Parts: sequence; structure tokens; C-alpha cells
Amino acid sequence: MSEPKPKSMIRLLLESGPTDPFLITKLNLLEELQAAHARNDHKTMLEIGQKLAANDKAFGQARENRRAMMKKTVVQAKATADPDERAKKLLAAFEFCVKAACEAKEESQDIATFNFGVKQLGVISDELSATPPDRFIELAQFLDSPDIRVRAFAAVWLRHIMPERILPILKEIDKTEGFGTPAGTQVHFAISELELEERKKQNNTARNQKEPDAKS
Amino acid sequence: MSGRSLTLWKRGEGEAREGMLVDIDTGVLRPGRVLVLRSPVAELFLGSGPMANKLIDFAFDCDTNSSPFFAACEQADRALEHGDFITARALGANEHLAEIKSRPLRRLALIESIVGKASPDDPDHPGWPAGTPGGLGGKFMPKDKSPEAGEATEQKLKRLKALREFRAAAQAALVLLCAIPLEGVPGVDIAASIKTVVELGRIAIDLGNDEREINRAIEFVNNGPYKLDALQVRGNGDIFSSFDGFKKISLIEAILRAYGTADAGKEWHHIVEQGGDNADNFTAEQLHSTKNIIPLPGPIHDLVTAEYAQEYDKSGKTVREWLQGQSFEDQWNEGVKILRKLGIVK
Repeated sequence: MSEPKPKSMIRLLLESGPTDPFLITKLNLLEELQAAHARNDHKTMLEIGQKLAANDKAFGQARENRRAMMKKTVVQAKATADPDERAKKLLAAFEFCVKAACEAKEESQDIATFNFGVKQLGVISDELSATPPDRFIELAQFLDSPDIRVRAFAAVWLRHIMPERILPILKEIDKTEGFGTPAGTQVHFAISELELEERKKQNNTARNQKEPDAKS
Repeated sequence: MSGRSLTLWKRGEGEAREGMLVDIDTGVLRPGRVLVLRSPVAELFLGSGPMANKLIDFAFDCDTNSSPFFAACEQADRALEHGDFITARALGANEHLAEIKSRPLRRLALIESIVGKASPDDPDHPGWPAGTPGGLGGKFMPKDKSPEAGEATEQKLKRLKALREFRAAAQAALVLLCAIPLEGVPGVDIAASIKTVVELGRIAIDLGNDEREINRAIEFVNNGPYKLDALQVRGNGDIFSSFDGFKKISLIEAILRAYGTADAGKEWHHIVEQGGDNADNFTAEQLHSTKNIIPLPGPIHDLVTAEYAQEYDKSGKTVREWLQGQSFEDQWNEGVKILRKLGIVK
């Protein structure tokens, strides 16, 4: 009996973390296609081609569905009349959209759906601000979330409101979420932004202090 | 790119000072280039910087500096001298160079001729000139052996993170392969579907290519992290009026440093991006300098640029748009920080 074929690097990488099942199916099909191509088996290649096309269509539909679910959650929350209930639903929608957006990127590098999710977070936070008395600050409840992605996004969203509290949280998350992960990239740039702002502030202060001295 | 003869000045008939400016892209003598001046009574070779020293050593003393690239040039020059134009052409040298009787001048022009053909972006001449011995393609810079590198736990974590991120890059490559429209796959009708079969075959082959590219990228990271100046083609901040100018001039440096420019999948990465607002806010010289541009394996380059397309916050700005609102220095520092986080540079 022949030795089983070693797994390809792409397969090892895809199997090493969360991966969209459609992507794994596609990889299987592409490997079958490669084998059929090596055998010059045109009939099988065409059959696999049909399956690949169907997989592609289903993959695209799943992405559409994910976006539609995010949108629906936000629309329903916005439509809630009672302010307390609306705030509660908006916060739940925030958590849902963070997870859905991050999964889109983690599972299939779907930046378009990720960006769609981030836009929904913007809609949610605007709606929270407009819900009396300004409920935006209630995002702070997520700063203790066990889900690092939810914690990260809440921290990024709140960074201008409470920078002293947020910066250490961002730095803690930055230790484990590398650049390239959905939350890691946001956190990385939020830290950079806060640090740059702080430096500019210090430079301005130093300049302002110098100017009176120069006149005297 | 080739040398161009020009008249430098002329006081009277027979007194013309002619020269060959080897660096014709910028028209000035910069570090690493050689300017040749020729008058009726003398030839003058001016060089600046260590690279120019190597070029002059090669041109005058036949010193190949143990470089396979110079060894190939030496072989080509001998072929030109002996009228063996087939060998010269196989090595990337134009036979018209044989008309240059001054040996040093010919050897300098030869280098320009070969380097001009070996553009990393040229699909017909990818990187190393044909016939270059030594099989340098695919080899990387020796890694820094300092004890700090590679041993610290933090460093290992960085590598793990990088691997995780290559996974995302692999996914991105696969996502690109999904572009087979349903209507492009007509039933099992072989006679009508030759074109489709060819297309599917190409995709299958692409899959294999992506595998190799990812393996190379992982090898690159496993050999890192690198010092930034080891990645830079030349660390002294040479500037260029265009990206094309950078690519041509820098190739010779890359070749001499055995840096694998010919390695398929290597791409030039601008630490401060060259597009968008940056193109208007900064000069070409700022953007296209050896300080700002480094070669990276394709998947790593993809990873960084894909992250820049990510929306940043409720302002609706992408990471790229946020970055482009910063000063050149801040953007450069950010770019280096990202390479550091990926475990690419120290």
C-alpha cells in the first residue's frame, strides 16, 4: 500500500485555525482538479469545474447572508421604541456585528464583509449616542468581555472618551492579537493614534512654553 | 538602460570632451554610480560610494569581488573580446558593446546592459541575467546570528503570529481562485469546453505555484527577523525621481548583495505607501528612496497591503486613509513598526 500523500502547506495552514467550510471544500476540489489535470482527465475536470462553480456561488451567498444578518440585527435594534430596550438591543447588535465581521475575515479573509460589519458598528454607536441620555458610554461594559475581539472593538470605539483607561487595555490586547488579525490591526492603529496624538500635544505644549521665553 | 555618449563641452574643433554617463536615469553622479569622461587626451572615471568602487575594480582590475554576478559579466566581456556573440548574448550582453574599444568603459557599459535586462518586473527576464552561474536565485541574506535574535520567547511568538497571518494570505490567494462563473462551465461536453478545461488546468497549476510562494515566505520569516538595513537595498537613503528609476538602479545592488531579486514572488514594498494622498503630499524623491522601499515575499506584501484596506473606526476611514493623514516620518515609523510586529524586522 502506498504512503498517504503529505498535506500541502496551504491545507496545513487552513486547518490550523477557523476556516470557512466552503473554503475547505474549495481546497478539496482544487486538489482533485490538480490530480485530474495531471491525468489529463478532461471529463473529471469539467465535473469538478461544475462543483467549483456551485461552491463559489454558495460561498458568495453565505457572505451575502452574513451581511444581511448584521444589517437586520441593526435595523431591528434601531426600530425599538423604548430607549432602554433600544440601548440593550443596540449593545447586543454591537457584540453580534463584531463577532460576525471578525469571523468573516478570520475564516475567509473577507475584507468586504469585515468592512461592512465595521460600518454597522458606526451606525450602532451613532444610534447609541442619539438615545437619551447619550448611551454611547455603555459600550464600556464590553471592556470586560471574555471575547477579546469584542473587548478590542469596544476599546477602539471608546479611545477618545477615556484614553487613560483605554490605552492599557489596548496594549494588553496588542500583546496577544498580532497585526493581521481582525482585532489586532484595529488595536495596533488605535494605539498608534493615541500615542501620536499625545506626542503632538506634548510638542505643542513645549512650543507654547518656548514662545513667551523667546519674547522676554 | 544603457550608457549614452554625450558631449560635455566643446571649445573648438577636436577639443570636445565626451563622456558616458553610466547613470543616465538621473543625469547626476550619485553614490554607487560611475561617471566616465573622455577627452582627446584622457579618460576619467569618477565613482562615488562602495558600490562604485566595486564597479571600478571590476572595470579596471577584473576583480569580480567573488560575486557570481561579476563573474558572469567577466565571462560576457571575454566573449565580446573574442567575438563570441552567441555566448555574450546568452549572458545578456548586447554584441554592439564590442564596438567600445576602451576595456573599462566596455565593462561598465556591459554591467548596465545586463542589469537593464534583468528587471524584476519583466516577465521575460525575471531577475538574474540568463546564464549567471552560482544559482543564487532564491537565496536570502544571511540571517543575523546575534543571540537576541530568534531565541527570546517573544520572538518565537512573533513567528507564530506571522505563520498565522500567512494563513490569511493563503486564504486570500484561494479566494482569488474562485472566479469561475457558472455560465463558464457548460456541462460535460468535452468538444465545446476545451477553453474551459485549459482555464481549469491553469487554476490547478496556479494552486501549486501559490504553495511554493507561501513556502518561500515562511522560509523568509523563519530566517528572520532581519535588521532593517539588511532588507533595504541600500541603507543610505538614495533617492529617485520615479519608482521605475528605483527599480532599475537598485537591481544591481540587490544582485551584488546576493539578495534574491530574481526569486519569483519577491515584490517591492513601500514602507510609506506611494499611492493615494501620499502621491500629492510627498515628493517622488521621498517615496522612491532606498530608505522607503524594501523587497518582500509576495504573501507578506499582500498581508500588509490587505490590512491597510480594513476600515478603522466609525469615521469610515480605512487604515490607509488614517495613515495618509500623518507626516512622512510618522508613516515611515508606523510602517517599520508593522514589519516589526510581523517578525520581519528587528
